[in-house]
Amino acid sequence: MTKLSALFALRCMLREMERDVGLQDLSPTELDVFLAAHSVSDQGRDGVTSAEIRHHELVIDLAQATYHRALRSLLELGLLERADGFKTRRYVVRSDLSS
Amino acid sequence: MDCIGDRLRSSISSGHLMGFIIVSAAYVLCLGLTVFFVTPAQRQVLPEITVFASLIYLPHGVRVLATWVYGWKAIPALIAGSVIAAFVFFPDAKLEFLTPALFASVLYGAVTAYIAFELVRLIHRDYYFGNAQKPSWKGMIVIGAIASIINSIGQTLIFSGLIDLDKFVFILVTYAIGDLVGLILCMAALMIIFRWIRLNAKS
Repeated sequence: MTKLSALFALRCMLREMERDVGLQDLSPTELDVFLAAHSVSDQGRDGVTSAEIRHHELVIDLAQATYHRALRSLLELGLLERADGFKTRRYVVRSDLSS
Repeated sequence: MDCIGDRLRSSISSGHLMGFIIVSAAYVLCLGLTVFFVTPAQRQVLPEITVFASLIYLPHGVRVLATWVYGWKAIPALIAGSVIAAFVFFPDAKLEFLTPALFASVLYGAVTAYIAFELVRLIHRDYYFGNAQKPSWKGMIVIGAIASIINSIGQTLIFSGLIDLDKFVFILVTYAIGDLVGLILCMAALMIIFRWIRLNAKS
């Protein structure tokens, strides 16, 4: 056991606490995708497709893989949710964040 | 080989000494914050229990986190922290501090987190740092809560001769709440400090 490993374990534990209390910080790419999804959702539709978010000016220049990784991460974090009742895959910004 | 052994021994002992100093200093700092900020505010609303227990007792966070890292080895450092803090923050009460009740209170407070970790270990949940159980902030708060209950019962019994019977349960509950809130605030403060360091390092 070293002092550094104890400090590292403490930081990991408190990072998990940060996530659990909702203070998780997004990467710049995730933030751009989230803002793009929020902006497109604001246009008054029930959920948006990945292609619609993808064409937003904030994310249009991102590499395809980077974009999808960020989208997946936002879904895992619960900031975006899959919209129910559609044949194609559509996404909505979590209801308490979209108002 | 002797040279390597000497260096290893020296490294271990200097590591322990540093840990001892960090834990004692953290305890003194947290008790200072409690004495100078929490106690005066609490005295305004609950003067009758303030002399015995604090509604936010930050040193409990140090007890739990230090015991998580160092196990039983944290106990002497916690005792030293309590003794130093008593002399620093209550210099006029030097002789009073030597009364058996206060001395028992210091000793008991220092072992409560260790008792809680050991109780949890009995149900095969070894939360000590470096052992199988993954460190979890929720687990730490559960252990802190157990330690706060153990502490509140013990401290109230230690001071039972000085506490009015009608305030007994109230003080017991205040001890438990104060310790737990202290631990949560301590962890939240560390979380914010680490977050601030991380975000500033990025920018």
